[in-house]
Amino acid sequence: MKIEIMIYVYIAICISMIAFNIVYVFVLRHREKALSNNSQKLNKIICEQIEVIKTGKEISEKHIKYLCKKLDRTAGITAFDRALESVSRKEPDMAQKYLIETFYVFEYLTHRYISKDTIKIAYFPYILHKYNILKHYDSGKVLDALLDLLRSVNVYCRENTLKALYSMQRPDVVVASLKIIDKNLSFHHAKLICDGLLNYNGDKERLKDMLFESFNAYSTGMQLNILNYFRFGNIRCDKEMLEILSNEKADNELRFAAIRYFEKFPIKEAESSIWAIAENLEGRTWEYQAIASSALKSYPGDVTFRILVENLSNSNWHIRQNSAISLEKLGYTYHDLINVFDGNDRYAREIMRYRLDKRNAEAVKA
Amino acid sequence: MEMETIKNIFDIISVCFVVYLIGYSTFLFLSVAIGASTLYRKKMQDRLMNKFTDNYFVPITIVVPAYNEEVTVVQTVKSLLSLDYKLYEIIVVDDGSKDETSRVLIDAYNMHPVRRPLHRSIACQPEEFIYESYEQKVPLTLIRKKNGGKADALNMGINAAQYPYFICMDADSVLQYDSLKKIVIPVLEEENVVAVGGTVRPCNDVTLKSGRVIKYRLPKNILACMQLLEYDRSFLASRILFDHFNGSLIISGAFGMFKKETVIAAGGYDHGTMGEDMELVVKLHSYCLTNQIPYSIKYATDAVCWTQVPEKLGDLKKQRKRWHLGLFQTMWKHKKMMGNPKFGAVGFISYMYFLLYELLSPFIEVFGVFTMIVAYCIDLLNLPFMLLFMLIYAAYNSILTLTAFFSRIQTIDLTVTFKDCMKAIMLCFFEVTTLRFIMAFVRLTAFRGYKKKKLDWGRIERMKMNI
Repeated sequence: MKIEIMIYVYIAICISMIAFNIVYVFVLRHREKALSNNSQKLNKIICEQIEVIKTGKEISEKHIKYLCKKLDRTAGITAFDRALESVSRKEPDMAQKYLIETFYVFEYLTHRYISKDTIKIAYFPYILHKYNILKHYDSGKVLDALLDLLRSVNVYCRENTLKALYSMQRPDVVVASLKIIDKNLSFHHAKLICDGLLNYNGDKERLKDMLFESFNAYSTGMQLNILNYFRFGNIRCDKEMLEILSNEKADNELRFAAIRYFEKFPIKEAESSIWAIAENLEGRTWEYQAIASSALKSYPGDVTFRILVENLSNSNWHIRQNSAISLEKLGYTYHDLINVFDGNDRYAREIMRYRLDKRNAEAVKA
Repeated sequence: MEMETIKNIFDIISVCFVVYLIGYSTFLFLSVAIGASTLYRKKMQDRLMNKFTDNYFVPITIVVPAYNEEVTVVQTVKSLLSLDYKLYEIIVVDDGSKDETSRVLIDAYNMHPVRRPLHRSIACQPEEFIYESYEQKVPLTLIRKKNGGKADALNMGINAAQYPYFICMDADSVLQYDSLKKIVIPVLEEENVVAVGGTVRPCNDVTLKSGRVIKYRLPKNILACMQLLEYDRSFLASRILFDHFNGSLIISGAFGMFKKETVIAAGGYDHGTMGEDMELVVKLHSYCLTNQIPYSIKYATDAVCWTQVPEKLGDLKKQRKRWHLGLFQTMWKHKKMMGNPKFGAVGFISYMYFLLYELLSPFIEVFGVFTMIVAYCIDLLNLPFMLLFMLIYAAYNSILTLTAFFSRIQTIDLTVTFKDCMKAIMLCFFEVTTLRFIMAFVRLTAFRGYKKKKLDWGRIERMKMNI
């Protein structure tokens, strides 16, 4: 009968799981109701304190203590988030003033939250970022704690913390943050770093200078993210990019980033280097030639035309395709490319015909 | 043979059965418990903003292989065009349909013929014509090719894909509006993700509009409803459990995302198997482990694809036979993985689970029934004990199915009516005791004449969906 006992045990566990599900449904309903009540109550309290601020007085110590206690729990901070969101919509300036007046609370909470479970920790920097709390108040204690959170194993904790740190709008903090992320063993996707940096609204020129000052301290992966950020963020750094482009010892990916940068921001000084790469005078891998062929769409002229037509007959599919796209974007017609269409290279003919047909069809649509 | 010997043989068989059933129930219990706790933890993460609040768009190509899909293909593409995502393209590959699949698509989206050269990284049947549309929010391409089967159509789609990740899906399925955003999350969370499986949910009698659920209800059709319970158990249970140790062997052909570069390096979809979706995933494991390439295959529980499940037993039988043959072909092709330490947990746990509890289960189950009948005839069966045992076992499985069903409902913010809850409770027992055994017999006969079906698309009756 031992088997039945085992099965009975399983059934008992399963019934408790179903009971858990049912209880969970009620907890969810109760939680939503409790959250709604809590946020309404907090909304009322915040509005009262805002009225106090309007009269020129300071927020009471009692209120600060109340917030410290209330926001220490996730149920409290989620209710506060909802309440403050509503206040910020109605009176954004006063909500900011209220947050400045209550900054001590967040300083206190920083040290309370960093010792919690990482899922709960992640919510705290999210709030700091959402309400720009760190923009108006510089606290060494909070900064140190946040920089420490960048070493968390939880990607969301790191991501929310990065955003909170960016909201301080201090370039030195961004540089320090990227160094920590770079040295951290946990994987942080390049897209999160590059696109995340676009959220930085501080002095971008100063940030650029500081990033280049410490450029060699970063790993190649992070250097690539930084270069891509400059390109996507429309931050001009022609001199530095030219150095990378002309440095044959530089990492391949960094040079690719430099070529792509000069595709977006063409300058005369980069032209000859890109021609040389597109012609494969350096004897590099096919990726160089393909990327340079794509970049040539920003450098119209006879030399470009000659190189692109030559590359149309390259044995590599990507080089042929990118060359055809560049010729199409540069506005060349069937007439200009008559030698290609009359030539013996079927691959070159097909890809070029497809691109020109596509351009015509798109023009008709437009 | 003496009676004592026969009795001993039956004793050995019964011990084997008990071990088999205990093994299966333990696996089911562990997987449902871990699956449910994972879903609840995920819900808590969402509540506490453990999610990406900005939009990070990883470029994706959606490949829709289609064969005789004139009834559904336009609706499918319409739903794909309304996805809440910015950076993607749609490629429909018509695998030499005998109906008007290509024509209805060309007319519906005002597509133009193009002479587009394709970069053939993977071998596939030649294209007959290519059409493109310039009027949609994302590039839409139709490639009509010579018939070569679903795997061949998918390979053609991969060849034409412009982006680094591609999604394969069925032409009769609908992606939920946020499914692309959700399915890329594992790629952003973890390094070296080569494939991500989505969740497939039956949509019979569900009303969808622009990929959003407008009205959710359980299918009226009993067979479809039982399949829904089965899907929930399968997706909640084994897939989440296997995900914990990078051991998923299946990503449903209805919705999965793959890294193009790795799939091409591994050789793409296999034309020779019916279960090309499973074969690709097993091949990716094998390729990465053999070449010592760091990789992970993830499961996105909240990336949802809605699909029609068969409402007729004949269609269901066809589908399950096909799946079982695909499973056999894949397991046979990659038999070197079985218990091989080189393949780690994939070889020891995942492969062995699929071998014992999926591939061989119909044989074992039918053999079990046969043994019981023989034992009863020669008076070696304690009938009341056996019935009690089977009843408890069925009740246990039913409860696990219900746990899976309710866990999913709660964690994906769907609401079901009281009537539907009662329907699920009543049908789960029937599903475990009846449908499962019918399907065991069906799968047992899957090998009959399988050579003829090699490139068959396995047609089931298509209906227009409520989208």
